[in-house]
Amino acid sequence: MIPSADLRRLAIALTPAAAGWVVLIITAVAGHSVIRAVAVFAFVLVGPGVAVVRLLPIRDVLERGVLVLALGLSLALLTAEATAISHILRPAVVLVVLILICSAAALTELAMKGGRSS
Amino acid sequence: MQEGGLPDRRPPPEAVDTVPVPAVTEAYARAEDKAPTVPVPAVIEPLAPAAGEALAARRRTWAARRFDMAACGCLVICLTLWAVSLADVHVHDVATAGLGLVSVLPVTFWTALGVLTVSFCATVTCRPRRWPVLAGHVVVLIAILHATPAILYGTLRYSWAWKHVGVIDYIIHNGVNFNLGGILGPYQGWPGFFALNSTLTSASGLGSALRYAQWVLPFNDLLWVGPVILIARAFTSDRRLIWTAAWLFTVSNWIGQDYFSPQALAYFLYLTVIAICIRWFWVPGDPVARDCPDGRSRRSRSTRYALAAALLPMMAAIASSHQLTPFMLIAALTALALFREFRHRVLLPVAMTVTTLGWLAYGARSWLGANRSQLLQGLGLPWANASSHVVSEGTVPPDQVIIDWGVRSLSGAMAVLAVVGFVRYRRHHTARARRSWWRIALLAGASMPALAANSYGGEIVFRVYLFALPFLAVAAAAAFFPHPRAGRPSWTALVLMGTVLLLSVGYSLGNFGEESVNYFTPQEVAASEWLYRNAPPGALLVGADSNFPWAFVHYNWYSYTFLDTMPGSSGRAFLRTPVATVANIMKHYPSYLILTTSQAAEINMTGAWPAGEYSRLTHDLLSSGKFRVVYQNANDVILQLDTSHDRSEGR
Repeated sequence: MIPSADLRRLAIALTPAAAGWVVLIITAVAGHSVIRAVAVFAFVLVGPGVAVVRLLPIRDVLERGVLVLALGLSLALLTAEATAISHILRPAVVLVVLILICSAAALTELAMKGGRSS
Repeated sequence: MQEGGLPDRRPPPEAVDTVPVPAVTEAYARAEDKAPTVPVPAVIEPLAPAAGEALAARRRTWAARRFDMAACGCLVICLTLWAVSLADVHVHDVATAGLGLVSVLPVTFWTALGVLTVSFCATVTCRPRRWPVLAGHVVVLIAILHATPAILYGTLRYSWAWKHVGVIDYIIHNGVNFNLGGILGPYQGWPGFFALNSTLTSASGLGSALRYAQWVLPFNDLLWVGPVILIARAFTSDRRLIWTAAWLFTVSNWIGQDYFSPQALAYFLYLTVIAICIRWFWVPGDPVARDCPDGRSRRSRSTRYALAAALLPMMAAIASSHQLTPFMLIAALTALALFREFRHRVLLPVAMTVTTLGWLAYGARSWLGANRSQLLQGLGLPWANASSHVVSEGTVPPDQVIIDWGVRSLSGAMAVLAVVGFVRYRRHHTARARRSWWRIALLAGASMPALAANSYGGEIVFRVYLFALPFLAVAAAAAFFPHPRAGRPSWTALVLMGTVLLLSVGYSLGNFGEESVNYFTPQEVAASEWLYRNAPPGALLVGADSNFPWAFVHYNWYSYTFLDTMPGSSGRAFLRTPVATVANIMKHYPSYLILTTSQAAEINMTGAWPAGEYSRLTHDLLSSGKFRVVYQNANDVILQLDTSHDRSEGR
C-alpha cells in the first residue's frame, strides 16, 4: 500500500500535466467561450512554469512566482516558435508538448524525491 | 566618530552585516512610539512594570492597526476617485487635446494619484513590514497609470501594437517565413513573441489578438515590477528601500515599451535573468545574500548548475524574440563576469552569446544579410546615435516642447537621485557591503556601450535608459534610505513625498502627453477595418504617415507608402505639388489613400511638415477632382485615384 504522503506528493506533482489535459479537452469541446480563453491563458502562462519550478530549490514566494511566469512564458514561447518554424503550428500540438514538459518535470521530481527518501 | 562631516549613526559593522534586517524595526518603533498616548489619571496607582509593558505593547498594536486601516482606507479612496474620474472623461477630446490625456483627465484623477503617493510614502517610511499594504499601493498605482487608457479607449492604442497583431495573424495562417522581407520582414527573423501569441489566440478561440492586446500594457507593468523587487532584495533587506525602488521604477518608466510587443516580454525575461544571477550566483561571503537559494555557496555544484540551467530557456526565448535585448543581457552578464561579481563567470555569458549568435545565424540571417549597411551605419558614433531623435524645438508645437522637457527632467532627476543614493549608501555601509553595491553601478552602466553601436531607429538613448532604469531606481531609493538606521522617518517621508510627486508630473507628461497620437477613435478603427475588408490583395496603401491602425490583418497582401518618409528631394517636391505627387504614386492600381485624425496629430506633434500643411493637403486632394472618396466619416477619409477622367480624355 502506498503511503498517503506519497500519494499526495504524486497528485501535486502531476497537477500541472493533468490541468493541461483538461485544457486540451476544453479547447476541443468548449467552442468560443470565456472559460476556454481563461483556461488556455492560465495553463500556457503558468502550467509548465509551475511544474519546472518545483524542481528548483527555491523557497521565496516572490522568486517562485516570478520564475513560474518567466519559465512558463519561455517554454510556451519556444514550443510555439518551433512549431511555427516547422509549419505545424496547431494549438493542440503546442498544448501536448507543454503537457509532456509538465509530465517530464513531475516524473523527475518524483524520481528525485524517491531517490532521496530511499 | 564622524565621516564627511556628518554625525555617524551607523551601528557597528557586525551589527549591519551579520544581523538580518536590523532595520526597519527601529523605524517602526519610532513611528509607533508617536502614537497618541492615553492620559492616565494621577489617582491611579502606578502600574507594575509587567502590566505597564503590556499596556504599552497594546497601545503600539492599536496605533499600528490604526495606521494600517488608514493606509487601506486611502487605497479605497484612491480607487473610488479613480473610478469617478474615469466616468468624467470625454474620451473623444483626447484626439485633439494638446497634452493628450493630461489635458482631459479631471481633477479627481490627479487627486487619486496624489493621495496614493502620500499614502505610500507614509506607509513605506513608517510601516514597511506591512508588505501586503505596500504591494496593494504598487498594484493600484500600476492600475491607475496603465489600465486607464485600456478602460477609456475601448480600442487598442499605439499603431505599432496594431502591426504586431498583424504579424500574429500572418503566423496563424502561414507559419514563420524567415525570407519574407518587406516592411514587416524583421519580425519574421525574431518570431518568438508572435508565435506564442498565435498559439494563445488560436487555442483560446479568441480569433484575434485584438481581443486582449489592450490589457497587456498593465499586465506587462505588473510583470516587470516582480523582478525589480527581487533585484532590490539582492542588495538590501531594508523593505523601505525595496518598495521605494519598485515605486520609483514605476513612476520613472516613461519610455512606453510596455505595450503589446516583443520587447516588453523580452525585458521581463531580461530582468528575471539578472535578478536570478545576482541572487543565486553571488560570490561567497556576500553580506546581503542571506535568503538566496545559493546559501552562500553551501549548495552543491550540481545544484548550482541545475539553477543555471533553469535560465537557459529564458535566454533562448530572449535571443529569438527581440533584436536588442540579447545584446543588453550579454553586456550585463559580461560586466558582472569581468569584475568577478558572480559565479559561472564563463558559463552564463558564453551561453547567452552562443545562443544569440546561433539564432542570428539561423533565424535572422536573411534579414541581417539584406540590412547589413543599415546595421553598421552608426557603429562608433555614440553622440550621433544618442541625438538622432532630437528635433529642433522651433519645428514642434509648444505642447510637445513641454512634454520633452518633462521627460528630460524626469530622466535627469532619476540619474541625479541614483548618484546621490549610490554615494549615501556607500557612506553608511562597511567595505563588504560597499563592494556588493558596486554591482548596481555595473549593471546600470552595462547598457551604455549600445550607444556606440547603432541608433536603433533613433531610439537607442531611450532603450539604454530603460535597461539602466531598474538599477537607477534601486540606487535612487538609497538616496532616501541609505541605511536602516539613517535619517528621521518624518523628514524622510516628506522629502520622499515631494520628490515622488515631482517625478509623477514628469511621468504623466511623458506617458499621457502624447495620447492624441496614440489614441485611435472607434471611427478611425472603423475606417481602417473598411480599408482592409475592401482593398484587394496586391493593392498599394498610402498614408500621410504610419500612425493609424494598420497592417493588423493580411499584412503580406499589401505594399505601403507613407508620405512623411519620402526621402530628400521627392519629399520637398511633394510639399510643393502634393496633388500631382500623390496621383503619380497612386497610378499603381488598385491603390488607396487613407487620411485620419491620428495621422494629423502625429505630423503636427513631430513637426514633420510645416504647420497647416496636413489640412492644406487634405483640402487640395479633395478639391482637385482627381480623387474620389470611397469611405468617409466625420474625421477620416479614404480616397482612390479617379481614373474616369483619364479614360474620358483618352476617348
